Amino acid sequence: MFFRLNPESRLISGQKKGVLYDFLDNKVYNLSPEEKSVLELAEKSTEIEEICKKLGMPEASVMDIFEKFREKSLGEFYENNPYIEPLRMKSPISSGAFYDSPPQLTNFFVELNNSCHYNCSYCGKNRMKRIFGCIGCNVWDGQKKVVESDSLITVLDQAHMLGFGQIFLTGGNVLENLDRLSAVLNHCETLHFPTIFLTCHETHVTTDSVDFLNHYKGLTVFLNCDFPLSPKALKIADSLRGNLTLVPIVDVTDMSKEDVMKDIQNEHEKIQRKVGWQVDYCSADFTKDYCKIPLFGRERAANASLQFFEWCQEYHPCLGGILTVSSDGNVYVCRIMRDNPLGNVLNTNLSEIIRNKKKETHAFWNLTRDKITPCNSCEYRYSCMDCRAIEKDAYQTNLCAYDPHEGKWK
Amino acid sequence: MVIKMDFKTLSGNEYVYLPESGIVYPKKALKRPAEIEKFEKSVGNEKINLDEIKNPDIIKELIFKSGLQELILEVTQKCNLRCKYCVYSESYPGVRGYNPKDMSEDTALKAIDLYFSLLKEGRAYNPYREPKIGFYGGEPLLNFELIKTCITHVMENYTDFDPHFVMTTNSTLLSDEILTFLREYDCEIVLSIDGPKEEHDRNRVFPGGKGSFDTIMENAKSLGGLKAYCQAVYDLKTNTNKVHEFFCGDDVPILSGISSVSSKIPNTYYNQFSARDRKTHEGRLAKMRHYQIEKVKRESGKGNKRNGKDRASLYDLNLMNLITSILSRHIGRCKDPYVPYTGAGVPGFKLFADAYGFLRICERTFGDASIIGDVESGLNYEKILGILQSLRSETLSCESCVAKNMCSLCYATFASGPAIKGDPAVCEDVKMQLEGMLSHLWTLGEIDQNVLIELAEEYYALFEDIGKELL
Repeated sequence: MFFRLNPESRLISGQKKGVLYDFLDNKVYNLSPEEKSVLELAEKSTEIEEICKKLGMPEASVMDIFEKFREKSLGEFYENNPYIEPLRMKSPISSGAFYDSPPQLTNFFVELNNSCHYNCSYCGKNRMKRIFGCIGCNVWDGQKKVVESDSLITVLDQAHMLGFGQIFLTGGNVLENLDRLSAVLNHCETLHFPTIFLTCHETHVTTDSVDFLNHYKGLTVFLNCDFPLSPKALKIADSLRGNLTLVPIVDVTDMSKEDVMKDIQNEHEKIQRKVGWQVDYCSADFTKDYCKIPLFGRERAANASLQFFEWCQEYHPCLGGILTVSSDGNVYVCRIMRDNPLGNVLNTNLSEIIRNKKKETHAFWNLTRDKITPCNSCEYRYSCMDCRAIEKDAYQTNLCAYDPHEGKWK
Repeated sequence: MVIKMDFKTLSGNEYVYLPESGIVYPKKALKRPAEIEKFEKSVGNEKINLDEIKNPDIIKELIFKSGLQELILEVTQKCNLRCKYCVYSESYPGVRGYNPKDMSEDTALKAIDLYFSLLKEGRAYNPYREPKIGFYGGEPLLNFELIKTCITHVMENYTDFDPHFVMTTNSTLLSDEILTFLREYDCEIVLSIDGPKEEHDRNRVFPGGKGSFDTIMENAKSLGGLKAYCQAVYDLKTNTNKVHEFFCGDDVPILSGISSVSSKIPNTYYNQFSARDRKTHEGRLAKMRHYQIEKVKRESGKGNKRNGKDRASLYDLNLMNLITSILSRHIGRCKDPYVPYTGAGVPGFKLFADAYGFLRICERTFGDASIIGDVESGLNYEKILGILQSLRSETLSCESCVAKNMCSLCYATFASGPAIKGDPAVCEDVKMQLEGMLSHLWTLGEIDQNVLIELAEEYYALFEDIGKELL
């Protein structure tokens, strides 16, 4: 007799433990080492009797494990070994097909300027790192030149033709020059980008800019703000009528893990209307502080959708398909990892840059966790969020509270 | 009404194929209909309302993004053979017939310049695409001077591209001079060989009736240094076992394609076959499936360490074709909102420039319905939109067809007459074959659960260089 998981159930083994995804319900079941071993053999079409022998387990224990998953309708017993084709949203051979497909592009970050009168500790030019630096406003050292509005419009045309789905307009202070921003936003609307995000800091927002932003109904604003929330940030949250996500940046350097959670909860309760809430974290030294941060803990492996799973099998969850154009026209993959520009839009169009730098872009876009240590030993590798910019080494993860070799959360 | 197809494997396991999502469930595991329905809705089946498209530039953008994968030049309509199943023979009364027309140099160079100008403009949408140029006929070597001119023109004028050349030939006219030139430009050749002498010469003959096999085999000895592949055609009298053994041999290039004599276009060719021929053919197909099952049993667990040449002979290639068609079925987000059903895509995926300078959907379409532009004025995006609209109305009934996301019918069926038109009889064939195909492949999957994916990968690895010729 055989036991096989259903098409919607996918077993992923880590070094020590495993997980079982149920892609019909988007649920993840954590597996003990024993359950993992039993299901691994079952999925290799091993007969139940043989599984017991190989693992030296009593048949009753093995059957208990199978019954548990059968009761959840995740698997079934068979007299004859069946062929189970896993549930998919895309063909397993589409990437191996003969024709030259265009790149799968996702997020396009455009830095409209590199100026800001403030000097936040977590700004790009300063040493303190933050996790969601890419959806923050940042000023960088050594960027003097600013791409003219006409050129920027051309770049947006190029991004549209290449098929980017989401545009992130950011700075510096994007609200500094509303005429320029207006020209860009109007053009984005003409091009019908599916989603347009704008990133600014609470300190940038004035009464005029609130009126301005309220004019663009399709826009989603990421409002970066200090933590605890200031009265000004709360007032802006009340005044902006469109889609808004508050991004409070919590400096965890001198906080305990408990205080981090408690303070965030308290601040969240202060918001009067329904807005998006994406807490970000900064630290003088993440290697000391990462265990305080939920995003480095269980929260990072919370996405169990089939779409995300398939994406992670082929691409890096964050870097996959993204590009950034800085205010001086340089093109990078990641907004934060800016060591080697791929080119400059002032002398080469985006398409040519992508064509000429295929190897370099794919090194980031296709940086799956199968290529990163110790993620490649981790059962959560296809459902985990990840930021390479805050790690010291793009191919090594240090800032994670899970140890796949031990199968334990810190 | 929920559409589904039940099938059984040789082991007796029962399965259900759910065409909306493309999932195959063992019957006894199908316990969560509500969740499955929710999943099917979530992956959607978006269909663009083609009648609402007022600006054909949308079509242009689609082609710039995913099309233009190959330009095929019909350098001549002449042929020095008189193959009995040729679509230009009297067996296909609706098609143009034999014709002495050569493509002119002016037409060929205009087609090439047009293709490259589209590629240049299209780079803004697809930066990775490289040009592929195919030479086709008639017998293209009857106009070899034009092929030389075309290749030289491309190499001299389009240096920022990495072009790939391929020629389909009956290979009776290959000479040292021709081979030297083809080697210099890495031009791949696809030879039309149907199998051993008695099989090949049954159909592939010179005008006097003499078989072409001996000439071809003699020429095949000189192919060293060239990437060469074979394509074979079979009919109801083909001794598949002998053909399989023939292509296992080392004296012919690897078999890359097999197709039956076309029945998608009205013809008299199939009138010659008796009920006994059909029965014998069925028996041979059953033997082929048996061979495939036994081979998978023998090689189960060996992974990709199989014998490459042996792997690509007739029976193996047939299996690989079945597997790739199953694995590339339109599941989840792979559905094309412009052409939701059938294997036909947006015309312009490749361009076939015929000897007169008309641009057609592909080399297998003949009617006026297949014209999508010409080398003088370029692609006619309004016409292409019209073709898509006509195809949509011809395929309305596909919505309730069990084969709807696994149908390989293409423009060879729909665009070979004066207008886009389907053929219900061909649809019935597709549906009939589906159950057998699923049953066979799931039987193989039960023997070795990795075999389908492994063979698909092997197929793409073996033939990635000549991909477009197989599409």
